[in-house]
Amino acid sequence: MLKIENLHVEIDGKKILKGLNLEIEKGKVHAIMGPNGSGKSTLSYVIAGHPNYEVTEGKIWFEGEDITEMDPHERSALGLFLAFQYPVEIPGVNTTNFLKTAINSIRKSKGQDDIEPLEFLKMQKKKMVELGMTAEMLKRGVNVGFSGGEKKRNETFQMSMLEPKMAILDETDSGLDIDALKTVANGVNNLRSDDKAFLVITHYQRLLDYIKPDVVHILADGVIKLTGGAELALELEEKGYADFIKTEAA
Amino acid sequence: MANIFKLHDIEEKQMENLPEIIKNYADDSKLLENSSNNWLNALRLTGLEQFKSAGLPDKSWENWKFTNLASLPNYDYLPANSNVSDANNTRLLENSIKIELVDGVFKSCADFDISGLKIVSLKSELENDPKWIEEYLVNIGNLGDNPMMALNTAYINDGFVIKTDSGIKVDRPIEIIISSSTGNANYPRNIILLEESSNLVIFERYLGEGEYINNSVTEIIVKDNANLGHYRIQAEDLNAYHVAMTSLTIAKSAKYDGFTLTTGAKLSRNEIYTKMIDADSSCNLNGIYMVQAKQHADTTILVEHFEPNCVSKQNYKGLIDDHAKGVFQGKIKVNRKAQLTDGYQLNNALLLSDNAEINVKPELEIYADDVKCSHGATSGALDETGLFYLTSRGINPTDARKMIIKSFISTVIEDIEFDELKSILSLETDKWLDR
Ligand SMILES: Nc1ncnc2c1ncn2[C@@H]1O[C@H](COP(=O)(O)OP(=O)(O)O)[C@@H](O)[C@H]1O
Ligand SMILES: [Mg+2]
Repeated sequence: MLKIENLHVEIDGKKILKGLNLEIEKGKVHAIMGPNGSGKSTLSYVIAGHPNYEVTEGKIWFEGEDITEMDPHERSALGLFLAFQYPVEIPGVNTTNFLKTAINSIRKSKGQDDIEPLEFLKMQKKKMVELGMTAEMLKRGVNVGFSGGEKKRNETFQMSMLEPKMAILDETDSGLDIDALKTVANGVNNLRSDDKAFLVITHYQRLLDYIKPDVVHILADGVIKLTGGAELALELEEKGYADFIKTEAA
Repeated sequence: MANIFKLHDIEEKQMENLPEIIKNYADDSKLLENSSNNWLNALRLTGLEQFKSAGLPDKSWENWKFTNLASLPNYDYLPANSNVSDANNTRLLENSIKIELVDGVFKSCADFDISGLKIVSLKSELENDPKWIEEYLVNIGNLGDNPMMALNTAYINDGFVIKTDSGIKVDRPIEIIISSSTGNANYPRNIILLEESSNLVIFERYLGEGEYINNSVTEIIVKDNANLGHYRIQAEDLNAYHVAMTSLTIAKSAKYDGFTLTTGAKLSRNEIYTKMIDADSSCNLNGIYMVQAKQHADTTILVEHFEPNCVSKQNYKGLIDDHAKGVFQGKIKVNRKAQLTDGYQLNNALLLSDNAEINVKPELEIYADDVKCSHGATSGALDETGLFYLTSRGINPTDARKMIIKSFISTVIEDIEFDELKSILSLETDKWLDR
């Protein structure tokens, strides 16, 4: 579904990713762990098409299509979704209108008509309840006045509404208490299916207790240093990064 | 407006040495016939003399560093006579009392049945009941400091006069449509007086077609405990010149909520001088300017606090595209007695093109020791993080850009205390963004 080959990425002249390779198949959940500043968010931004990150070498394919040069909205229309580590506040634009615009934009690019307002509202209501969003939150400006946890919830809610083929969750678990974590994990698990894939970026094994990964990668020094099964995350938790990466590198 | 300008170094010039443009604007043949009010004749003459000796302000003037009126068209504009044709512009507010001014002439006012509310033309009031308005026309400070106001004074003839009696709460907004046509120089002179404990909402819209000058002066007095909502949309023709001077006096525990949207005119200057003359009052002087092509939009505000415990807020947002220029000069002056003043001033400009320009001059002048005053200004390009967030959700870049721009101006719209205006402003913004 997603294939990344020899990816080199720079921002403001600083080399962050240095020949990263990654392949994620349909129906799978991959987790990426790694120390702070190792380039996890950079990778997620680059997959989503952030214009400030420059791909100097390498390619990204999504469902067989080379998306390396594509604009973010085109990638979204193909079915990619990024839950931001730091969701952005958009005052004056409420979440309902924002999501309706997004859904209709994506539908339009596929040659479909706008979503029926009633159908939209029904879907919104269902997912709202599922992810613990309140009507009041949807009326406010996107993420405006939301706590850290509420912002993460809103990211998962948006993902659930847009029903992407592949979602990247960038530290969606940080800042969440255990109940919120379960809700968010539940939102992801409800979307899981044979034709969808997930890339879960996290610091903590904790999230992976609720979203069982098929594959775990460790990102360090701008490349995938190590790949293993779910047990790798547990092992990592025990030993700690520094020790772990060093031993492996040695 | 005595304090807003530093007195220009005026030399007495001989009439024959005057620049052509000044001669044109102050030509004898254009002057008005004498009025039966001698004080008015004297006042017009003072205006004329002050305009001639001061000339048009240029960069050497303290408060005109960024706006040059030497570019005013130098040809034979005439003030309109009273025979201007009728206009029939449609209202934007459903329940409003409509007034129309055409080329500076008060043409019509819809019927209304509200006792204690007076709406008349300045011209008729000068004939029928000139006594009470004399004070508000004559007492306007040193015209030499403000030549455009002096020029307006030379041509005082018509405009709107709106007055509420004490305790009158007017439940219908007044919608004033001020339209102008090509080749005219218009000098409307307006008076808005709210007596004690009265409430009123006024919505002014400036429209027009062609190249003309609209040089207006509005005197506003909000007396004790009165409450005025005063909203303006300046959507003049893009070839027009708009110079609006507002002199605002706010008395004890009174409230003024003001908002100006500027989208029109080739060159505009929206100047507001606010005097908070008694305690416990508040005012909002907010607005948005959206300019394009080679437009030039200047907002110049002075708020002067004289007495304790008043709140003044200036909050402006600018959208500047193409080669357009924005100017924001805001000053808060707190006099010695005005303890516990809360003064706030902010101008945020969004530069939508590499050639867009913003000039700001924020000033605080404080003589009291126990006050809370702040001023700030920002300018920059569109928020890329926001754009990326929206486009990553599938929203196409054009729509995402509009959403971010609307988001940028949303806070100042939310603060408006007249809900009907908010949807009008939203439509105006869409129109501007889709132009
Ligand atoms: N705009 C930027 N300019 C320069 N360096 C940046 C910028 N954004 C991120 N970086 C650097 O890139 C590296 C990777 O950052 P990031 O991808 O956020 O790491 P992670 O998500 O793994 O913590 C860090 O060293 C960070 O300081
Ligand atoms: Mg990160």
